Order: sequence, then C-alpha cells, then structure tokens
Amino acid sequence: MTSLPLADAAEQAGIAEAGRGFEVVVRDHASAMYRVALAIVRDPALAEDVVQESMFRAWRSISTYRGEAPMRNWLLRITHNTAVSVLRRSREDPWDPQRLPPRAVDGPDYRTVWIEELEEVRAALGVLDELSRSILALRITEDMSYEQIAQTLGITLGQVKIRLLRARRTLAAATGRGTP
Amino acid sequence: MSEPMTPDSPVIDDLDVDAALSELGMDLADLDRELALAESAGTGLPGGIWDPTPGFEERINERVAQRIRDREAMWVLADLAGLGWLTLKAVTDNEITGTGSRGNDRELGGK
Repeated sequence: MTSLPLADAAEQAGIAEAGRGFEVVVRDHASAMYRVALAIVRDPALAEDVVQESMFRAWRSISTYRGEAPMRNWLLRITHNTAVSVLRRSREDPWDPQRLPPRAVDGPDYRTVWIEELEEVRAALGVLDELSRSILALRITEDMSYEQIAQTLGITLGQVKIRLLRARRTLAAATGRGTP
Repeated sequence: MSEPMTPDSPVIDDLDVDAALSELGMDLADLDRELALAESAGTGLPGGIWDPTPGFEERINERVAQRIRDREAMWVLADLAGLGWLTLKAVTDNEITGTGSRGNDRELGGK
C-alpha cells in the first residue's frame, strides 16, 4: 500500500513518527483506538466507523499535533471526541448484531457467544457516562497510568481517579462482583 | 471568546474533585487506597471482545484512503470549477459533520 498524505503532512510538520507512513500509524494505533471507541459506542461496527473517522480527522488536523505528547495519546483523544459525537448523532439507531464485522471463526455458535458477551458489556458499560467509559478502557485495555490517562484526555489527575473509582464500584455492583 | 473546538480539543469535565471527595467522605489518601482496592477486584467484564476482528487494519486503511481520495478529488473539481474557498469550506464542513454515520460510510465503500 502506498503512503498517504498524512505521512507527507507529518513530515512537513517535522513529526517523525507519523512520517513513517500512514499504514504504520494504523498498524501501531488503530487497535487501541478501536478499544476506546468500542467502550464508548458499544457497537463493533460503529466502533470501526469511529476509528475510520478519527484517522481521517487526524489526517486533517496533523498540523495541530505538536509532538509534545506521544502520538497514541493524541489519536486516542481524537477517538474519544469522535466517538462521543458519533454516539450522540446515532442515539436513535438501535444496536444491530447483523452489522458485526466478520471474525476468523464465525460459525453460529461462536457468533452467539460473541453477541452474548457484547450484550453483557453493553449493559454493564451502559450504566457509566461516556467519559468514565473512556477512562476505564484506557486503564483496562491500554494499561495506562492515571497520569497518562489525564494527559491523554486533557483532564486532571483527581478527575481520573474519582471517575475510575466510581466506575469500578458501579461496574462491581452491575456485574455482581464485589461490593458497590 | 473561547477557542474553536478541534478534533483533539481537551475533554470538558465539570467534575469538582473536592466536592466529589466530600461526597464520598474521603481525602486524597483515602481515594488512592480505595481505588487500589477497587482496581484489584477486576471489572467482571468478558475479556474476549476488545480486539478488532481480522482484516480490521486493511479495512481502516482502505476506508481512510478512500475518504482522502474523495476529499482531494473534491478540491480538484472545485478548483477546476472556479469555486471560492468559502463554498468549498461549506461543502467539506458538511462532509465532516455528515460522516461517521452509517449511510455516508456505505456510500464511501465502508461496511
């Protein structure tokens, strides 16, 4: 695959990481973006739409990236903002299991289990606000420190800790694990 | 006047930490201790759903490439047609606010 203009724009802006090529940026960061998007929108197909839109917005906004924070943090913040705006536009759309992307082993049983697990996650995360879902995803799927989460989202350390504690307790109550 | 929002604008969080701590009956040391305890208990969520499905990177690469090609083609067409910058901005702004939705993505070759 040929390099896309994100690489050219990044090189002009003196950003070596993005300048390695757009496909490298996708390879290195798209999965993390997907996990954050999934936590917020709770729909795998819509999460892929969010990643696509976020990558496109990153390409358009590359001149605003100053390289002060890791590119992953910058991309994850764009993903959070995009996911929240996409979710608000699509509130009226019901979750549609028929739109699930294909999996390597996608027999009826496998699909049923996946849908059941997704339903479980949707229900559990549905009790949290969007920002708390993002914070939780950055913590449990990206293994970020509290400081990294605060830096990524541009909020304070105290806000991260309070929201994470509330989210953990709320989830514990919702999933029946631990005490609320 | 506040700065215009950009895709990477900081997240707005109006949570008042002092008020929240007071509500929880905690100080910062308590918060750290309770958070460590809560984190050690896990989430109880299934772990198998968080990774994208096979072919994800190829799909994203192709869909973004198509978006960029469409946008660049629009600029070329606008240039050929002698459209002004404001006209084009209106078109692209509409493109941005309208994308991410399922309908537009289908038009652009997305799933």
